[in-house]
Amino acid sequence: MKIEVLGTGCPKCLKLEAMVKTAINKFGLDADITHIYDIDKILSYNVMMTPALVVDGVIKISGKLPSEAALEKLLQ
Amino acid sequence: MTMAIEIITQMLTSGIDTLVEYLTAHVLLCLVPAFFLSGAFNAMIPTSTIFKYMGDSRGSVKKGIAYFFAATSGLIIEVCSCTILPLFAGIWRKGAGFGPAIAFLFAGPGITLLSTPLTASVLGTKFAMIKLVLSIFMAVAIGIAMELTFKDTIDPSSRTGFSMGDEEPSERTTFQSILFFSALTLIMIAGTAPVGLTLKLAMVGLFSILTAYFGYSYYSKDELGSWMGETYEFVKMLFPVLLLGVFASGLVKPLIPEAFIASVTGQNTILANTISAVFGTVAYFPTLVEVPVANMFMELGMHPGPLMSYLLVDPGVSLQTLLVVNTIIKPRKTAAYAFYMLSFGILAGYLYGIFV
Repeated sequence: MKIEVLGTGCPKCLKLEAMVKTAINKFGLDADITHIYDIDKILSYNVMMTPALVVDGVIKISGKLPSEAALEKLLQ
Repeated sequence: MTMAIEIITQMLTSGIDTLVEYLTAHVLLCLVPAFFLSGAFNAMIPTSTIFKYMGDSRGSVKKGIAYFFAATSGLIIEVCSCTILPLFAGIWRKGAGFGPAIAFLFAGPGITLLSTPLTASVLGTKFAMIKLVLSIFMAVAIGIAMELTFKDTIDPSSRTGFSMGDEEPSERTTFQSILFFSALTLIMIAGTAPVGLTLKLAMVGLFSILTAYFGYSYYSKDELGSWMGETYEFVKMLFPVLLLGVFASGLVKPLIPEAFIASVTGQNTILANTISAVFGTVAYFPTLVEVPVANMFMELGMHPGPLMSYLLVDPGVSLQTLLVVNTIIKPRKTAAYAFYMLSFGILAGYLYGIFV
């Protein structure tokens, strides 16, 4: 599974990255996490609101922090 | 020694007095509903609904609509500074273009729903409404000026529009949403209205019951829950900072010589407005704190004209914002943005000062 966290380095974006890592560890998932800071790259995903979460190339979340439960459901 | 103690006592008394003044029913009755309304906007209106209007600039009508939504979006969405940048870059490069993006850059953080009722209860309803209208016009004016100064060089074929994720199917009619948001807005208006406390409480109570009724009838438990969650987030994020700012503004007030404020900004002149607008750019106050600061200046003798200039410019821009924006647009454009913003802010405040 390829997970990308898109964020400009804002507090919410960093928190999303931390939440994703926690969830991955919790379920022992095999995932490759990258955090993309570059604004041009972020835009190339057609994402306007950060933080955003992209799983295997599909935008799952944009512009808000999910609840822990919602994130876990998304990643499983 | 005694003098130092005297000054400190005076500062503390002033700080506590100011704090108590803000914690009265008068201010709370307008601010608390505003928090709930902002929370509801954030939780219950999908951002995609708003931003789809800023995604297209083909045709002048659509451009006008994009400007309108860019200039008023700040009222509906509370965006933190970290979200502003991708949105700005997105509207510029993929959406409606440079002008609307600039309008959004100013209006997004500069025009907030929360500050309007607070300004109304502290500086007067008329002042607050005029400030709101002026800042919307200012956002559009800055956007148009920037677009005319710098020809937009982005290739139109790269304007693909943008996706905001899937739009969730709505479970209620537009009419039902309007009922709910109207009732909620009326609580805020009733809380701000310049009427006696008894009548005010009665009106706030009535509209609260209506809001609760519409909320329970039309929205799911999850939606109501996320509304409360968003509201709580806003309160947690802004309220302590506001109280701290209020206290601090009361604290420093005895230290600022009244004669100085009155002599520099006591008249409505271009110079006085320039000074207060530049102060608004350089000084950085957290969201909402600019209002108690403005209140302090007014009590120290600042004329309403320069006061308006200060309040128009302060929330929209700070050096910090300019530095971050500078990473996306060239320094030349950043300088022009700061120039237009200051000029329009000074001018708008000056005109207000003449007619007030």
